[in-house]
Amino acid sequence: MEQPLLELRQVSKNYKLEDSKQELEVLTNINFMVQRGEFVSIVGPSGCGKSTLLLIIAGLIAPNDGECLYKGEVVKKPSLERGLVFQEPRLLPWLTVKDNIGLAGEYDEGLLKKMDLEDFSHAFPHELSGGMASRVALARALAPRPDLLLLDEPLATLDQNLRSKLQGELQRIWKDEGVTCILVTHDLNEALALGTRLIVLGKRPGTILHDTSLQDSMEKEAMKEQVLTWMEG
Amino acid sequence: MERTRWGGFKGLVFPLGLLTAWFIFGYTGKLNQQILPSPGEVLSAFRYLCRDGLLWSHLGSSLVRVFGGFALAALVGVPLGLIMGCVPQSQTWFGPTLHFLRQVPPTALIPLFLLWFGIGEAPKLAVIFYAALFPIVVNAARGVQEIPGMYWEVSRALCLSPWKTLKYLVIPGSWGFVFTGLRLGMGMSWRAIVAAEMLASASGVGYLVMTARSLARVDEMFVGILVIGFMGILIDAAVITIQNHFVPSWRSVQGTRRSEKGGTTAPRTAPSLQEL
Repeated sequence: MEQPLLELRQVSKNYKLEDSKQELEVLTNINFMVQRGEFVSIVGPSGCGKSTLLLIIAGLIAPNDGECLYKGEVVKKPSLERGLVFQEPRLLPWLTVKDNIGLAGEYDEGLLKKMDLEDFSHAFPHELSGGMASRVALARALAPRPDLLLLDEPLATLDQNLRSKLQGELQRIWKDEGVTCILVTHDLNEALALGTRLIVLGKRPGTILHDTSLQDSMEKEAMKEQVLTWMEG
Repeated sequence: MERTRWGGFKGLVFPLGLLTAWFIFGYTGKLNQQILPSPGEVLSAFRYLCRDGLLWSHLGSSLVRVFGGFALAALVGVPLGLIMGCVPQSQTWFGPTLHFLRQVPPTALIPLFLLWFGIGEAPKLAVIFYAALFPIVVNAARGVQEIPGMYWEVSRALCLSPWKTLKYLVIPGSWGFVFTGLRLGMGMSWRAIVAAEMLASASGVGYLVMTARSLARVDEMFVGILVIGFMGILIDAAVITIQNHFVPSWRSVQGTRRSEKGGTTAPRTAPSLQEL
């Protein structure tokens, strides 16, 4: 069997609460594997630890228990092979679009063109609309040519029209660039529309309630009600 | 717009009123010339000092000292402050020492600096260095600490090297505070040098005022005091001009965002002088 691109083994995460000795259990006993080329959507209610899970995979925080393996090696720190797109674009306000994209990787004119940003390469973030800023954040994560793209609700702040448009772009990037994607979202429709596989997390502390591959649109539609029941339950 | 324009003039009402009263009392001969000379006498003394070259020579000496000591303080203070801002434990280790030193005014150290460095230019440079260093260090450190945590997370996620983090995050992210520190440091330098020259110097604007006092030339004292005040304002204006015009791309981030959604957080502005 081919080595998975990513493997999480019994991952748990607690946070120490400020001004208190208590600990908040955010994730408990998370196990799953991701193969190359998959588009995994992770859904769950607010506060179930979806973003924490992504930060652990990115190497920005360490789990309290268990381990996260990337290409068979334990993730200890961030790597350019795992691109991360945050919920907010988080563009450095003093840098132009071109410089923001070129921060980590080689500045690529083609990438800017693909993202429909070539006319804004010298614009500053405050001169961009919300959709453009999200596209720049996506381009910044793609510039170092990562093998795994981690998407932390990157479209959550956008209106429905823009959201649909960018969902299409995400799918195009996944197909064209051959990058494996993990999308965290609380929007089930978005998760079903984009993913080839769906992981459902339960309420805090987040555990995996369901992990299934999504074959066709009929199956996706049929799953909707069931997933909503799991999420609410 | 009208209100803003008028707002600028409001600040001139009081000094113009004071100047008018001074003129009127001087013209009517109701001023005691030994204590307060008339504006005309002060103007004559100013003309004399200019023509003689004395004023320019003293002013030149003061400015050379100020810029020398300030440049040294900036060269040491900005990197030191940035390092302190980047190292979270630095506040715990060095905070109390800095707090103590900030309470000791530069003038209190003049006798000590004279003892250590002799009577040349060195003790004056040391006074300016000391006066300017603390606002520069404290503001640079605060500027780094005020960079939002989400940008630090971005720099970690993108695996930026220390050099790139300094170049693209630390320096531009803290520049507003750094400039406020430089501006405050320059003001402190100017005040400190005038005090130092009054106590231990044979040249400079402070020395000019003290010599005029020993010769009972109140008109020349007034010239010196007014020059000190106006020079301070000019230096402050020059620093602001540099801040506004020599970093255009950084300044532009203070513009209004086109969209709230998905846009980046607008950077905070530097603290007001009152805050500091």
